[in-house]
Amino acid sequence: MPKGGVARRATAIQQEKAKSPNVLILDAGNALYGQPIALQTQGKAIVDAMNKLGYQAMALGDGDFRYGTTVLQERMKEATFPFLSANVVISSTGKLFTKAYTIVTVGGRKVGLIGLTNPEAAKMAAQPYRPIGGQGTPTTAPAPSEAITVLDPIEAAKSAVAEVSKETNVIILLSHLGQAKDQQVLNAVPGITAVISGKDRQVMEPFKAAATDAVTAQSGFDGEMLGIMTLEIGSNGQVTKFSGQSKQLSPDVPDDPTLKALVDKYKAEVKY
Amino acid sequence: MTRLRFLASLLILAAIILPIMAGCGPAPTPTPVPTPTATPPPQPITLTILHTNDTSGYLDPCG
Repeated sequence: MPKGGVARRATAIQQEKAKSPNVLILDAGNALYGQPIALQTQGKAIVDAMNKLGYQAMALGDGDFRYGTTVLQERMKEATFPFLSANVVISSTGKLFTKAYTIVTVGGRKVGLIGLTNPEAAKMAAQPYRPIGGQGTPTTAPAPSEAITVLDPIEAAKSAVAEVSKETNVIILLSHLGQAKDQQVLNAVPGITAVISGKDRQVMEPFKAAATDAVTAQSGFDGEMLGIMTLEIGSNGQVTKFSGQSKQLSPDVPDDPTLKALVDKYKAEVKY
Repeated sequence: MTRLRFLASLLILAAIILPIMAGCGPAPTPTPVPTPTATPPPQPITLTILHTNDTSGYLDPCG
């Protein structure tokens, strides 16, 4: 039975928002690349859907660089939410490719969101994908792409957490490093409240590793699920209680008509 | 006599003007200094994070 889809995800998001006043909608990377509609629109259709779904931030994963940096920057401009990475710099200038972090206010409380990217992103940016036409053949040359360097995520996280800590003690890491590396970051960088993890393509229900107080979760792959993590956070930024689950987006979750119409529009435009 | 009066007037005038010039006028009305108020600690919060990862370009259901 097919699972997932943005139309069901929209319904699930609305259902959760109806239950909880203080909601954040986040992505841990590798959203833009793959599948005919995304490939032929070079990720534009995905950003369009994520805008309508109400995402508030996304970490950059290696796959998000597969169209090259020029196209990715176009997608970033179209997005109504920031793409975050504290450890990707433009090789020629040493400047950050995008914002390291953003701070949002939820329920009157400031929450810092920091992005981290896995090292494979540099290779992806160096060999951008050639868009394909309706017959699956390359039609155009890939857009030019600037070389990027992926810095040590632990050092980048230390720096970003130090900055964000000036404003809030609630810090969520959006990490496309994979869970093993996430734990290394958590062990080396105090002050992180929770990690929304990616890259492993696994379902990890919210858990606290023994060595750290931060809560980590990951919600599978291919958009089949929506991860739900609930945190009770004290004045001092410590998590006093947590719970959650990955909700499977099976056919019993009805399609949201707005997102369904969006998908249908792109299907009509894109040749398979 | 007139000269004495004139000198006395000068002395009185000097007694009035000199302290003012020396900054000894009436004490200025104190400007209220704002009392520093401690920033209240942030309130505890229950936060729900809805999250995805590795959606890999899927718009439609898959599998």
